[in-house]
Amino acid sequence: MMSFVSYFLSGVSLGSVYAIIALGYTMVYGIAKMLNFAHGDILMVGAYVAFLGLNSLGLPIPLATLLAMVTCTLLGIIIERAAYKPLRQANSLSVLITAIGVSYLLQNLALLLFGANPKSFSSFVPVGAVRFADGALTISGETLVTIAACVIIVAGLIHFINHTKAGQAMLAVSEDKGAATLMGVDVNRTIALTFAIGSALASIGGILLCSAYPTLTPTTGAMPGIKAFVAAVLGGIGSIPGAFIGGILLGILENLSKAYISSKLSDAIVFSVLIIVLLVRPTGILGKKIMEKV
Amino acid sequence: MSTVQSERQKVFRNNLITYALVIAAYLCAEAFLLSGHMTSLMKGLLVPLCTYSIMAVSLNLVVGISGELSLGHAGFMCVGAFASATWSMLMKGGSMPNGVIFLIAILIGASFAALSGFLIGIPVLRLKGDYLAIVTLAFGEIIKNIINALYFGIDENGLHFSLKDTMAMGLSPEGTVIIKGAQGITGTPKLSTFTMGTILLLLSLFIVLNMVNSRTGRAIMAIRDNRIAAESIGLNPARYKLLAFTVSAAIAGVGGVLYAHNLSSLQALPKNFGYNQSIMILVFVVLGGIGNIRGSVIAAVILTLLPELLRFMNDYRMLIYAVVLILMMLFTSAPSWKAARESLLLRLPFRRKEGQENEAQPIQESKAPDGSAGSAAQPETAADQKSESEGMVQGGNSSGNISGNPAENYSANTAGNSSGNNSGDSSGNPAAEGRRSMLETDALSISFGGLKAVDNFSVSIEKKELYGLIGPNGAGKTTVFNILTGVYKPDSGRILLDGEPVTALSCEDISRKGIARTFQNIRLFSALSVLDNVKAGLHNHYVYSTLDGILRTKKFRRMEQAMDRKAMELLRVFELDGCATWRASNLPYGQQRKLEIARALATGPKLLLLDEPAAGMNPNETEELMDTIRMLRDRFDMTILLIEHDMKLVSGICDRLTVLNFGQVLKQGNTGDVMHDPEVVKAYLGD
Repeated sequence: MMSFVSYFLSGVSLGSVYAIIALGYTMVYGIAKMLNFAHGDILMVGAYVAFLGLNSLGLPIPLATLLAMVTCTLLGIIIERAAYKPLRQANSLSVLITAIGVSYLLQNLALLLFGANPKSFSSFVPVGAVRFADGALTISGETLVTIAACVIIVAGLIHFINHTKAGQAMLAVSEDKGAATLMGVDVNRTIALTFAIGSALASIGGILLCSAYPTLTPTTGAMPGIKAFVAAVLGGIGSIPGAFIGGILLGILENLSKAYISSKLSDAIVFSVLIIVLLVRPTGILGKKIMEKV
Repeated sequence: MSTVQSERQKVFRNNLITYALVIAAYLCAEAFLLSGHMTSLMKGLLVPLCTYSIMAVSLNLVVGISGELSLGHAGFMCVGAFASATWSMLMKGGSMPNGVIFLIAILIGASFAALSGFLIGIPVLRLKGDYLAIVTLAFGEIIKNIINALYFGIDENGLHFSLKDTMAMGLSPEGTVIIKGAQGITGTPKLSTFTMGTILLLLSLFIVLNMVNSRTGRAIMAIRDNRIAAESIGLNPARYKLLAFTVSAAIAGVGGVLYAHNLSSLQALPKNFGYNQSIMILVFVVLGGIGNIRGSVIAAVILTLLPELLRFMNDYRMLIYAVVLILMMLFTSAPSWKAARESLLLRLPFRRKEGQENEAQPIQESKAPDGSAGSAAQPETAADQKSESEGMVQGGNSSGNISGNPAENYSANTAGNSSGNNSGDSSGNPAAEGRRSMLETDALSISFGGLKAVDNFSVSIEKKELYGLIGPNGAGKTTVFNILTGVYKPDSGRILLDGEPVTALSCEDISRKGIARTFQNIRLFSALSVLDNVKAGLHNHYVYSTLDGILRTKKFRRMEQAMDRKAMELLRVFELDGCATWRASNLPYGQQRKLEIARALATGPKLLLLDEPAAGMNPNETEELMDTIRMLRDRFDMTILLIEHDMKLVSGICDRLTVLNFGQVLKQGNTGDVMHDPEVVKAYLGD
């Protein structure tokens, strides 16, 4: 029983990381209608910057985190301006391929700068493990902090979207770019802001991920990126609560199937559940039903 | 007809060029090989080049032709690779000659991949866009994951497999392990050769190119361009999407066979069968030009060679590759970059023509983009017409499907489902008593979340009648059309078409029964030619199999010729024959509306539904439209139900009217009476 609780909680924690990354995916999709395949690699850049900030520059943990967030924010804005903005009118496949190009670019830049050898990432979480029931259940500090961070981020983001002018502008742009422009919303700025927030969140996701799984390589972001994408789709892409629910579910599912069914087949199980969910609800758990008007 | 023929020759020539390019590349490579000028690195790339080209052709069928994004094509390649390698391992050391083993391996790889494509396609193709993409990605990962956990072996008792480990298979000591989990298959016979790869590539090209330029390909592309319109002319989207997906999977499986038999050890790794690989293949397709089969082969070759050619740059090569990829996308797709490129090309006069040629589409771009094009082409058209109809009479005898006297009565002949509306005044059906209703609806109702969009709608329309359906915006007129054509299923009520119940049938079946329609907001197959739009409408009347199309059999040629004749005949009625080879989206607005009607007529309907045919037309065009509609009734013996807001048109041509208001029938009767009814006036103008 205790082991189940422990698997479950570490699943929630992994899911929280997925959720934080998925938020970026879902916001960018909602607003720019594009799958930003480079999102996972921004996570990796964030983790490297934080690693260097802590180990090479000797910054304290909060400053190293901040440095990673600022770097990723800038990186997100630059990528959007340079690679995605010129393609805003182009078909969605061209943008997808460009995003893949950006993903390769980031991976190979990292490979060049930091080498292929894995860096061992020291945890950014200063909280120790908590023991329950006479040590039968141990919850690591990383698990607790990750879950807490995720809840705070999601709550903050929902508040931001619903109660600030910039958030409302985002909703307007995601609904109808043309109409938003006519209403005086600066679409370019709003899209840039979305990329900035998404990238900052990705850096936090990267730091939390590497605190729990401390191997950092240039491809660290790839698989979590894909999983987060799956989480976003599972929850209903474009929906913030959806990304949260999708992420948590995915994390729990992955950990429990690793523990109880087969560690080799856990990915297959996770992806099969995704397929089944989409067949029952073709736009994800919280996705809006789209009907074509005839 | 000459334009049509030259168009067909152009397609033929284009295909030949593609084959010739592949053969030329093959001969070049062989020459280098024989003269010993090829590095061992390049030698090692020859088979992969074929493999990736085949993969690109395969994926282009799904992404370009069928218009669905698949991110899991490496999964089908993986299935093909492992299925065929397992077979070859089982046969290794036996008495069967290698050539035969390989041939059967190809068949096995293709069939297993096709089967998985079919199985995954049934549920998955219901999803759309990015959701389909993510599910195909998931599928690819599942395949890779399962194969990594799969153990497979053989002993004297037969085949054994397990998802745990070697021991769990329970093999006898004499047994051999074939698939060893994550270690995959070792010792696959190296049967793939460059020649074999080239032949398989040519074969894939042959299948895909011929399929695209046939009835099947036309249906697939029509569904891609506009699913709802495609259903309305009797095409089954699920069926054709599944067909494209399955054929594509089979070809990807062949790519896998080639891949597996080129290496002595086969493992399902992220880099060869993961989503990265799927995306790489997608890059070939997108860079080569979505839907452009030849382009995707060229892109596959260049992009497979590029990292190798950049090898001297060592660590930088993948970086450069990524930058090149981004720049290529920007140059080909970003409007601002395109403009920069154009102006650059303009400064190089000798390069200009080349640049334009690259832009040229398989379908001829508009020669005259402005609205005057149609009328300008007319004199020429009239001259053509005469020789055309002569040709047609001759042709009619050979095909047996076309009446010898096209101008008088041809609506019924192609339909094949009509008994007795050959001529207007005497019903050929002995059971009918004089005048019988063509359409009869009884208390049709539908509601959307509490809103009664259509409530108790009953109407009876007689043969050859011009019937109007009017009412204020939001009254439910188009919803009635949607119920009649099967887009919506009514909550209650009955529909009889020519005495036959058609209630709640699928769009496809209703089209076959004989209801055709146009749409309020024009729905053409925009990327297809004007001619192909009409030929898509003829789909269910000129039937030949996909295989006939691929093999270019006699039946294919006969049917296509008959279709061309029939379609040109219809286009001539609407004076669109002059622009038969244009892209439909390049037609001016008024002619797009006409083309929509021509396409609807091509399905050989008994009842034609026109949804606001005069919308956006000026008074002159409306006048012309009224003549056209009358002509349709007289010449094609058509029963027409139309929705219209233009009261001049309605009062000018409709025999009777139904007025809808808030989903309910407000008034029904002769046009004159209804139009002056105080209630109707009130509904339109308010109190």
